[in-house]
Amino acid sequence: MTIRTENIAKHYGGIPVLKGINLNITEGEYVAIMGPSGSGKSTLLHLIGGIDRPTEGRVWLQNHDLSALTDDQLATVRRRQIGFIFQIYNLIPVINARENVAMPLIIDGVKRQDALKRATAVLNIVGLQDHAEAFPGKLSGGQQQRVAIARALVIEPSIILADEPTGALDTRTGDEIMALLRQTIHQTRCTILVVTHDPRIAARTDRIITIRDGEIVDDTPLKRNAHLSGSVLTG
Amino acid sequence: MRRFFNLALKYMARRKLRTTFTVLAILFGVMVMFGTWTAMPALRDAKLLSAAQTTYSADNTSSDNSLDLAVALMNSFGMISLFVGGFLIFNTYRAVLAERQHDLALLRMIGAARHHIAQLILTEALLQGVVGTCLGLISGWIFAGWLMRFIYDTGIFPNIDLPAMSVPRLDALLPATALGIGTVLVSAYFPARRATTVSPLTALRPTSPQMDRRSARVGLVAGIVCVILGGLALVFGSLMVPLAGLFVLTGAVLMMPSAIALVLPRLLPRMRHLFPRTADIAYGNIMRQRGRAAVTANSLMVGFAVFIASVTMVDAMYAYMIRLFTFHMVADYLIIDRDNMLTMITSNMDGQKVLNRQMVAKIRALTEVKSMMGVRVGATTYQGKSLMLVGIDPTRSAVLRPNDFAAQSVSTERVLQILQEQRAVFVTLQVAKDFGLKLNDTLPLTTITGSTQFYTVVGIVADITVGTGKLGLILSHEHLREDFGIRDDLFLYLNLQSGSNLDSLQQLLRGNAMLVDVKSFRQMGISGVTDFTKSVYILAAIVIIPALLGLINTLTISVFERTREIGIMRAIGSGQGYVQRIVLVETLFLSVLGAVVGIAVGLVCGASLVAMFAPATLTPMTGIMQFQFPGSGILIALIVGPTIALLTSLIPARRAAHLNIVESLRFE
Ligand SMILES: Nc1ncnc2c1ncn2[C@@H]1O[C@H](COP(=O)(O)OP(=O)(O)OP(=O)(O)O)[C@@H](O)[C@H]1O
Ligand SMILES: [Mg+2]
Repeated sequence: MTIRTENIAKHYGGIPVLKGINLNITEGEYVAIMGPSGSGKSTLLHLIGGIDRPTEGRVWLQNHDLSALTDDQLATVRRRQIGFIFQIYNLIPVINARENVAMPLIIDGVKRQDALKRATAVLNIVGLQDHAEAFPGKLSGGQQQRVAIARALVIEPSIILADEPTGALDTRTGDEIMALLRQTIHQTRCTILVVTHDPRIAARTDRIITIRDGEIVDDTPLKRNAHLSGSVLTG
Repeated sequence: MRRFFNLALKYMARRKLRTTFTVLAILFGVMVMFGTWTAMPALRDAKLLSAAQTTYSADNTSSDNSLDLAVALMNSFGMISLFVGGFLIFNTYRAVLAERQHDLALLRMIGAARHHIAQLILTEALLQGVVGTCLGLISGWIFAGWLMRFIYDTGIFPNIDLPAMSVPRLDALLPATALGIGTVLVSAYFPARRATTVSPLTALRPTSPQMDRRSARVGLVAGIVCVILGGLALVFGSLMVPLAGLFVLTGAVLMMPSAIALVLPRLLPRMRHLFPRTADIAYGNIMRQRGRAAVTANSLMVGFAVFIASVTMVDAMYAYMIRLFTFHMVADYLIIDRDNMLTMITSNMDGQKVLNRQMVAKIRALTEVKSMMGVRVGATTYQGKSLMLVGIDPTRSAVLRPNDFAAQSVSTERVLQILQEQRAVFVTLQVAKDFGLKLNDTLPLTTITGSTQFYTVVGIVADITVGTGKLGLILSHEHLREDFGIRDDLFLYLNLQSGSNLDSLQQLLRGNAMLVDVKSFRQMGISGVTDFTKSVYILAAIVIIPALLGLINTLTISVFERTREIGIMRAIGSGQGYVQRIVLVETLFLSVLGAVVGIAVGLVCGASLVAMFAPATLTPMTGIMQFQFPGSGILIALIVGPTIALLTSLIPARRAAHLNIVESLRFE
């Protein structure tokens, strides 16, 4: 799915956090977003994922203008098209790993048994077949993150938005998690946006976008994957 | 609904304590309602049956309302417990949802729409409502049996058979079920609606946001408005009075967050003195989650208020009923219409049946009768207000004692003489105060023909044997007949020749009127009233149980929410006792506040309850039921209340203390 942002700005209490971001990301692209702390990376991700609305400008997913969608329609887009992965704390504590993974399907009205079956399959992919019954509190950080990835994958998303998915993990576990994500992109036409501070992770993507003080200051397609990168509107 | 059934079940199963207490709160509400609605009508039916069997008069169509006051009282307990239950359930859901905000936001993030969130919460509420209601119905059935036996054993309603418990009455079952489930759904609905507005972004913040200042301020303003409305309702009286309690209660609930901000800083220095090591942390915890703390304090406050209101009501009733049985009876016997005897404590004067005139004449002619005096009752208006008239026979002045008018340096004999000679009345102090009457005032009274006659106030008496309190004007039979058309006696005082046989007297009464042996009646009555009062106290205590459940619930949630924090504190070296003490000191802070506010609110609610029932209680023997300051009740509440609160909070406190450090550190 393509992502296009049209001059989006976001203010918090009058203070601009994002100042007119124009971005074009093609289907299947694997993009890293980098930048110093507080520069607005997470904010950008939230706007693209439709969990927050821009103060100005528009976000287009494929050919749909997110600002034209109602709250419920946005929710539908999220549960059918977008997989979110965040740093920590993003599993529901009272249900086990399998049920957490199945949750977006259950919300979407998929029959419970089918949803759980699909969840099991995805848990196998992320290597957690032995921990399907475990509750989040009993899983390690890396395992929790795999569950979150499985939950993002189970809906066969068009876009994956990951905000520092490895931020809380050691290097090795982080690499494993990223390997999992890369593996996904080879198998589907899924677009991935990953916010990261880790240059090693960024180096393995197709394109690095750098944000500073709410503006894109650099947008570099990586040579290795240049044939995949999209056009850059502004810098 | 179905898609969230499982998740709702999981929440219930994984948060056992909370679920248990929510279900218990529903259970108690339904139990008290179903129990009273089953027991009281059954008792009333039994009473009607016995009346039908024993009354000879063909005219038995007038509805018998002898149990009405008791029924109304019990029903009001049912309603109160439902209200308290509903309030607590509402608060619990609010707290639970605040705690769960992170989860809900997460669900929103992965694509749950607002109505999905509402469905999830309402599914859970429905599950809890159904379970709580079913258990409540079962316990209510048992409670009804106990209640009927208890009331039956007091003997306060004589001549009835203990009703059998066979099939549940539909008119108790259906409303109790509907109210039980309905209350839960309504209580859950508003917090659920609020929860649906949770932004998915909330999921990304580690802690749930605090209660914002604006909603605290809105609460304060709305609360003040409610309290003012309550005050106005009390002052302007009549129909509005019952609302006063409700208004003030609601106002207090709304103002609690502001009250905490206002009062606790002032309480802090004292607490620091008492608990140097924990006061500040406890204080900080409360102030940080002021909304939550307000919920906890409100649970206690409502508990206190209900207890004090019940105690006020019961004390007023007790004093009133005891007055009924201990009024200075001037004779050995009392003759009163059978129905009046049973309705004496409940019925309005309008409904009273007078004694048959021929029968009274025949009784007077009996040789066994040594002396006899009838008391008659009429009504008039004075300054637009209706006023009761009580007719006595000045020549048989047994209702007064010789020195009753000593304050006016007149002999009783003289007052009675004036009563015979001219249009004159005497009044009780209370009536003099209420109507602004002074000695020698001339009162223009509207007569039965619509004309006006002038009566002089010739005496003010502290208390008379036909009653105390708000009686009315006491005048002679003669004038009561002439100007107001009242010729018949409501009851007779009777003294018999010593050693006389009662047979011919009973013959004359023929079951239409009752011959009451004053001494034994009094004994039976007092013990009955005392027992009855005890049972009402027990009910009052039962109503408090949901409040305690609410306390445990909210405290548990606040401990739960701080799991990580407690883990950190323990990790850096706090002992279990220390963690436990923090929770206890928090409870103490909140229970002091809850107690003080609750007692004040309870007094207003009690006064408004008394005022609500009072009009139905006016009889010439007792006067009207009056507000009694429940001193001992307040003392009990002040001592027992915080103690119970502290004991109750031991559950969450111990839970906090025994948290596994490692697990709480990885708790999300
Ligand atoms: N809800 C909010 N209210 C007010 N300001 C906010 C809010 N959310 C974010 N901000 C501000 O917006 C700016 C950008 O925040 P954002 O989270 O997007 O930064 P970031 O680039 O993701 O930083 P980091 O690398 O530390 O995660 C920050 O200065 C932050 O303080
Ligand atoms: Mg960020």
